[in-house]
Amino acid sequence: MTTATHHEPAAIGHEAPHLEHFEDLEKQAHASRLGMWIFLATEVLLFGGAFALFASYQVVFPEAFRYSIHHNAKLLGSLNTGVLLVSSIFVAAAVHALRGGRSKLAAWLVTATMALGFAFLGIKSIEYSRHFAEGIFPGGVGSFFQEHRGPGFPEFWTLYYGMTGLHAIHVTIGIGVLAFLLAGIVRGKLTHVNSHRLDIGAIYWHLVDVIWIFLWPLFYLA
Amino acid sequence: MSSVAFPRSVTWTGVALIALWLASFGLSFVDLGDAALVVALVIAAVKAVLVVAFFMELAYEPFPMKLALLSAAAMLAILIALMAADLVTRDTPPLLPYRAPAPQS
Repeated sequence: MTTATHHEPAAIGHEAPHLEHFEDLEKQAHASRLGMWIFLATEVLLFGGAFALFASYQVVFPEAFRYSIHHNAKLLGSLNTGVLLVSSIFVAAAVHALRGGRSKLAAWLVTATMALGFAFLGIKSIEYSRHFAEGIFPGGVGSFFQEHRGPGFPEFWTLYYGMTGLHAIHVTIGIGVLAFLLAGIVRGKLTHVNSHRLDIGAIYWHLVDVIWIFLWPLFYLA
Repeated sequence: MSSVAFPRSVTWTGVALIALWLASFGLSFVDLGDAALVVALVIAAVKAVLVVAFFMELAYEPFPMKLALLSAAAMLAILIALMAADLVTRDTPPLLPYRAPAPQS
C-alpha cells in the first residue's frame, strides 16, 4: 500500500466521491445510516415480540422460570456478554481509526471484532451441547422434561433456544458483513473517504450486542 | 493530534460498559429477591442506552434519524402495555398451573 492511497480519492475507484443520485457524500452517508436505522427498528420489533412472549410466560409460570434460570449456564452466558461488549468496543474503535485514516489499525480492529464473534458462537455451541447432554431440547423434548414435568419448563427452554438461536444467526450475519467490509479496507476500497460504509456494519454489530445485553439478564441472571 | 484516534466518549463508554457488566454479574450472586430482575434490567437498559448513544452515535444524529428507533420503541410499548393489560385482567389464566392427577391404583 503506498502512502498516497489514503488521501487520493482516485485510488478509491468508482465508489468515491459519491453515487451520482446524491448531491454529496455527506447526504449519501446520511441516507445509508437512516436506512440502517429503519431496518434496526424492524429488528427491535422482531425481538420485542419474542421478549413480550417471554415476559408473559414468566408472569404465568414464575416458579418454572426461576428454576430454569438457575439451571442455565450462568458462567458461559456471562462470559459471552463480556465477549460481545469487548467486540463492540473494538468495532467502535475501528470506525474512528478508519475515519482518522488509519486503515491498517482499523483492519486489525475489525479482525479482532470478528474473532470475538466466532468466540461467542463457540461458547454458545459449548453451552448448547451441555444442555443437549442434560436432555434439554426445543419443544419440551428430552429426559429433563421427564424429571421436571410442570408447565413452564418447555416454554422456557423453547424460548431459550429460539431467542438465543435467532440472536446467534444475527451474530453470524454480522461476522459476514464485517468480513465484507474488512476485504474493502484491505483492498484499499474502503478508507476515511467513504468510512460511512463501515459505520453501517458497526451499527448492525452494536444492535446485536444490545439485544444480547437484554437476553443475558432474562435467561441467565434474574 | 493525529495520534489521538479515539474520542473520549468511546473510551469512557467502553469503561462504563465493562464496569456495568461486572456489577450486574456480581449482583446476581446477591439475594435481592423480587428486585433482582428489576435491578438487572435497569443495568441492561443503561448499557443499551450507552451503546446506542455513543457507539451507534445516535446521540449526534438529527431528530428524524432518532424517530426511526423512537417509533419502534413506541410500538413495542403499545404491544407490551396491551399484553400486560390482558394478563392482569383475565379471570382465570388460560394456562393453569399443572396439577398432577391423583394416582390411580
